[in-house]
Amino acid sequence: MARQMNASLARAPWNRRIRIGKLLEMSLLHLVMLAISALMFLPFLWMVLSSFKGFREILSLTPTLWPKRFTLVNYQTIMTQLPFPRYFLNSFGMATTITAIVLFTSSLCGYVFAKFEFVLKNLIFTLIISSMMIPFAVVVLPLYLMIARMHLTNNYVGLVLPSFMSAFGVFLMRQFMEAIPSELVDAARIDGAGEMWIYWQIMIPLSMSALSALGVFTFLWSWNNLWWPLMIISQPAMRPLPLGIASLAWEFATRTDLVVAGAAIAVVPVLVLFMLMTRTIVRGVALTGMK
Amino acid sequence: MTNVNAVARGLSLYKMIRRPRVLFPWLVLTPILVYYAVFLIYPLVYAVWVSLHLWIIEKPDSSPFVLLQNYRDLLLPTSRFPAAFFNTLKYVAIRTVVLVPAGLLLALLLSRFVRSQRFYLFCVFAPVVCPGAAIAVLWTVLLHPRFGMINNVIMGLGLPRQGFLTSADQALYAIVGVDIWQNMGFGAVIFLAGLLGIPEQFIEAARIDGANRWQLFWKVTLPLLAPTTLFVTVITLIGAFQVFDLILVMTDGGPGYATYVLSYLIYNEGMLRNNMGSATAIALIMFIIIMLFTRLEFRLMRPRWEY
Repeated sequence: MARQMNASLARAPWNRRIRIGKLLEMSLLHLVMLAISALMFLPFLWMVLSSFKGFREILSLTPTLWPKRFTLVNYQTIMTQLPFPRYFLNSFGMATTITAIVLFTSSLCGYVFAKFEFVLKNLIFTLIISSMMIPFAVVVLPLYLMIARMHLTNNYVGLVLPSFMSAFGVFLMRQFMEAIPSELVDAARIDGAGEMWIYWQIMIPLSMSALSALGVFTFLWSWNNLWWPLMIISQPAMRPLPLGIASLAWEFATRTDLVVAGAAIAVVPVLVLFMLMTRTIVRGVALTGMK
Repeated sequence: MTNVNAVARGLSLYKMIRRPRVLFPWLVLTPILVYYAVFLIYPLVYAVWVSLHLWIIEKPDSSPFVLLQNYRDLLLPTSRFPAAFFNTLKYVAIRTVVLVPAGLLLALLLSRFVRSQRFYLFCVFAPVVCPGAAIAVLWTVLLHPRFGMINNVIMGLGLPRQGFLTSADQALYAIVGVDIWQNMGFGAVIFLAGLLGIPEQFIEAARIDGANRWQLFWKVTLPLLAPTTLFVTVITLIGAFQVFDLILVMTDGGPGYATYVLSYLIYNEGMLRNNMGSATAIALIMFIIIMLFTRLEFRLMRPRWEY
């Protein structure tokens, strides 16, 4: 409302000075934002463009942004001589598995905490939330010792096992499900529905936005995870993508062209996903701030 | 606190079997709690146990019990702990002090746009969603002393060539810089959400009362953002302690011990030097430090909580 008032007032001739002032201000803001956005995005641009440059051009002392000679040889090398497609598959499998499981456990837990009353409920919830505060570094080594003792190293199960629960996910889902009117649940109960039916047919469909935000979040987090795979996996064929890039950088430190291409392969799908799901991701991040 | 009688009555088995509504939560929570016990609580306890031994991975049962020797050894002159500790403090300080205001500033900027907001948000948040390994690799190439783009730009401006990751003085700051570049968008998004949560009436009322832009910001907006600021600061702080990908890929702790941080030291000591006892000791110390910082954080921000 204030906006419309301002807009109509601004059209009045005696407000021309204000209008020019506002125009200048907006232009300046745009300029600043464009500069910042360029700062953020240029390295990616350079990376993608450079991945198409030959070895000699990348390491030349007079570097260029746009490739003088476009070549796909880097990608060819990476895809054929190094198991990058395999890395991709590993990452994808790992990320989808973890995401599916986390979505299930978080939403189920969220439902339980949001729509049920039971003793010790608040205590248990507080415990779960405070587990978010335990840094991974503290738990890595013992977890590694445990998983190693179970002979689950270099094993997809060992890779995925520690990530089944997300306290953050539980928190998010509970916040969201509390907003769903309990009358729906009560009505279903009166009609004789089982609890799992209520969960599956009522709560899940109504929580789709929170679920998609959590899902994208979890997917990205597991996709980008380096530390745990680093500890667990030593066989090259089992590496997920970040570990693949890191080992590429270690083994082929001087082959900047390959390294850049590898990084590009890892980053571009993520950015594409992000472009498609910007609103979901941003909303999910913003939701975390609503503590 | 919890009334023991109430707990006993609530946990009555009879009730649970006859009424599914009472049974269901426990049906769900029991595996969940078991999972947490196995994968979170037990590792913590196990870590304490390991840190009290000179742990031998192959034959853990014959590891000698040495009580606090691992902890005492951290203060030896040959220990890398002091270096890692101070580097970590430096890292955390710089990262937090820069990222929180930067996030707020970005959010303020972003809040002024309507149609272009989504585009700018995309650009600003893009580095946040990317794998740390890829970012690390990219910037290692960009910061290369001989062939890196950054040095080429610097030399083009007439300034001397910088060592960046190869210079013991600059390496840590270079990595913090990359970290900040990557995560600026994160704080921005959360602050933006906080800004949008401020009711219009407050702003209007202040404006009617004659507040100018500056006063509006300091006296109205900022205090109303206090919980958001606390949240961002805590997250940024904890995230700073957990930095690992960047250090591992960009410098492996070098040159020398210039970029050793606690998390990397834990990895190196435990996995590469096979010194699990010492590594878990360091991890537990790190845990205590983080807890202290977080409590300090809450205590500092608490008085200005409600408005």
